[in-house]
Amino acid sequence: MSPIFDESGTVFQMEAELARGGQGVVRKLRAVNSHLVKIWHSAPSQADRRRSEALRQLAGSLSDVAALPVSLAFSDAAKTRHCGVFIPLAEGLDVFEIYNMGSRRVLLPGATFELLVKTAKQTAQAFAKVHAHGLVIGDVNEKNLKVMPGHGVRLIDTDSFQVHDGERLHTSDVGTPLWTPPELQGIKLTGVQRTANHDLFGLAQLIFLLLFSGRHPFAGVPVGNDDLQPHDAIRQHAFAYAPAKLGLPLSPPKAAPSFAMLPPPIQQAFLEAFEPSSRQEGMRPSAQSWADLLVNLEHDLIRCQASPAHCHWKGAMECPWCTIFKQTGADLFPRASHDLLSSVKDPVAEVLKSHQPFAFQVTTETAAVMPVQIPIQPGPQGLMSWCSRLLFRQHWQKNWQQEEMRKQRALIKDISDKIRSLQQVQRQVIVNYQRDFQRHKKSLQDWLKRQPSMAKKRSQFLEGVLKSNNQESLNKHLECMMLQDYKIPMVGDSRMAKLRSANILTAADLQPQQLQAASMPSNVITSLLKWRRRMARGIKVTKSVVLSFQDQARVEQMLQQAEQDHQRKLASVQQPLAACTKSAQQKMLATEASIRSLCQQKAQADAVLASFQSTFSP
Amino acid sequence: MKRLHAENEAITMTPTIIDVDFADNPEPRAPTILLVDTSGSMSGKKIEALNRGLEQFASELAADNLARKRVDVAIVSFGGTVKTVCDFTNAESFLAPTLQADGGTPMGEAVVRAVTMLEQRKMQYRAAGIAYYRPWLFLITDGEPTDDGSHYWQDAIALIHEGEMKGKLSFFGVGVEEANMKRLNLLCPPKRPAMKLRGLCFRELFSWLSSSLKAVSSSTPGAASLTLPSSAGWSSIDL
Ligand SMILES: Nc1ncnc2c1ncn2[C@@H]1O[C@H](COP(=O)(O)OP(=O)(O)O)[C@@H](O)[C@H]1O
Repeated sequence: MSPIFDESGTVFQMEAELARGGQGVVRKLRAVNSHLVKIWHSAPSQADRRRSEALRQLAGSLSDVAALPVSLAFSDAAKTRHCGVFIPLAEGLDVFEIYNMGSRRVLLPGATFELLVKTAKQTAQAFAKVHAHGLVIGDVNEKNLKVMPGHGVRLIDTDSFQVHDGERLHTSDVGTPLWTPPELQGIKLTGVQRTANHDLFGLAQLIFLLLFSGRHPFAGVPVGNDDLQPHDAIRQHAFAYAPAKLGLPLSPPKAAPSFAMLPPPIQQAFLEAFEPSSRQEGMRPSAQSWADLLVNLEHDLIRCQASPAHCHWKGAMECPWCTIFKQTGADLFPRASHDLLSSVKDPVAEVLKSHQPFAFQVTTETAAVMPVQIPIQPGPQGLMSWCSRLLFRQHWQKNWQQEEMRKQRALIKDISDKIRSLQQVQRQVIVNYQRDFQRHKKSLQDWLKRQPSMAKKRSQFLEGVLKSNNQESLNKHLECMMLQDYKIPMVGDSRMAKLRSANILTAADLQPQQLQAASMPSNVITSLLKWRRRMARGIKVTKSVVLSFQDQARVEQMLQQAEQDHQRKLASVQQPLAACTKSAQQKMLATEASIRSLCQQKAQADAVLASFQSTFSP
Repeated sequence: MKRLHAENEAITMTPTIIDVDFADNPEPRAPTILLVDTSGSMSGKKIEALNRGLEQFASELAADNLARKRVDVAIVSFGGTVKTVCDFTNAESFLAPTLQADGGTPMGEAVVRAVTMLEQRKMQYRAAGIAYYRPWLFLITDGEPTDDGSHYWQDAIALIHEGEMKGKLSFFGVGVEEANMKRLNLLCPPKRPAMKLRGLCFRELFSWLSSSLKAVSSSTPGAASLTLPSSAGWSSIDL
């Protein structure tokens, strides 16, 4: 590929063709990601050059909203052969891929109305800025606006903008009937001076398409049976959503969002942009006023309770997306399947975390002592006491005292031994419990591991639903394959007639049972089914990645059922854990009670011993 | 059995399915019917080249993000009997069929069937509030009608001429090799006489058709009136 030069003489290598338009070929540049070069089909005239130079002057100040030429392009280093322009690369999607629901749900699954409102607002702001710089866009259409969802929009194909270079006006000589305002319909555009008011027709149409998910403002249900091509409807100002009293030939389509879902000032703006008086210069709502209206709408959006993906103006009587869904079964803003998935936490860890072994403790001796009763006066009692006092007072008493103290000490030792052995029992209970608990927990963990996680279960269900959806669309294709149109092995005219009389007409009707009922020989059935499989293989079904409202409900229901089953099973798997804790608890409580009562006895004995020691101390 | 294709009876779908399909893609439509001769004389190289051309057509349309949302294709074949090989399908999901050649050339009946299908499709568009461009009927034959003794042939001529006059459809006739161009021209509107395919340039023919449909359905520089691409690549008479 031959090299290309910019105005400073820098050389660039051109790469593969990116796109081919009516005016030129757009190519990438080697090792340059930020810019492209557009080489015009026919050599540019002096006027073309003046236009590009005038636009280049504004490239910097409009860089955030329009990919204006940044430099002329030359095919020679001497810069004598002007052949095109360098333009900034505008990334993103074509605007129609955003408003068309079929594209949107593949490219931006889960996008809501908010994105459409935002994009409309940014579009209006871009138009306002271009107009404020004295430019007219001219060729407004669904291919000339790039959208980076969530970031911004940029106008492309800007080399046809209408611009005044200080000496003369360079008109925008291109357009397309579907986007041409009524006042210019049918007129050859070459040399026609375009105005901001013309652009504002295109802007209103872009905004309408965005807010109405690709519904064209001039497409509706016609009153009669006459054909009304879209550009003819535009010429007649036949805005399908205008009040019925205006008697226009179109009424709003049934499955389209209702006009009333929008705030009245926006409805009014659409009417003003499309009604017959809008032909006069300055009559259509300005880009800035659209931007203001859309900023307000963006602030006034709420989410519907039925689905977090249903976002709408808060003043609407009801959620417009639910209404359309109820009436037609079409969900314009379905939730993305990955959206449903990410809202689920993995519960396995949670379950395991909830099962921690109980921290049993060996009952300590000091733990439980009730107030010790005041011990009886130590000494022999009754007759013994009288005798002892009388006869052997000193000697006997000392012996008795020592004997009592020895007994008390023995008792204390005995109690202490009992306490220690019970504590040993407790220790063993705890060791056993911890071992059992870990064993049961391990088996719970294993069980949980064997269970598909909730997230996985969800995705399995989703896959199932998506698969059956895809099966449905596969079936639709099979239903279109009339058997009589194909040469099927082993099926001649008479068998074909037999199939027909059994109402087996399409590839979709080829089911084992039906074929048996039609008393086809088994080898013919095999052949037919094989043929059907072959046909099915050849069908490319575009995989859907989003769920309709209806399917979401189905998935939720299946998941609830599965969740209940899971909880039931989980409860039974968790049961041994709870049981082992409970039995350990019982054992611990029983030994604890014994230890406490022994402690009480020991305290008593200690007190008695102490009182001997204090009363009879030598 | 959801769909029944009896004589001349087109698909009846429940309104909901149509509504959902059109809600998915409410772009204005350019309905196109390919009427292809699959009579015995087309067998061999001709039908093979035609099938390859159809594949080319499907893939070229699919390559244009916008046109594929707007072009709706249907195929009616006439070879022995008239068959609706493919009822109206958006180019986004259109798959080229593999046609087989056999039997006579009931061209008149095929045209009548196609016009009926068109009217029904338009009814669906109107009911769903979908804008549509003037439908195209594109007929390819290598012979001459074998049903020109029946009422079908006269009906077909009347339907095409009236449809053209009232702006209800655009009819294109293409003759292949030994086609009887004189007969074909009886069917064609006087302002757009039949064209002759050069050799077996079916690929070029279908390339031209897909570009023309792109032009009908999307941006055309200069606006105002539609200019079709040159047919010099495949036709011995340029449009
Ligand atoms: N600045 C750009 N950034 C990204 N893609 C672009 C840019 N300019 C043009 N393109 C791509 O090239 C295609 C044709 O460019 P365009 O300027 O519209 O050509 P034409 O005016 O000849 O029809 C566009 O549809 C777009 O896909």
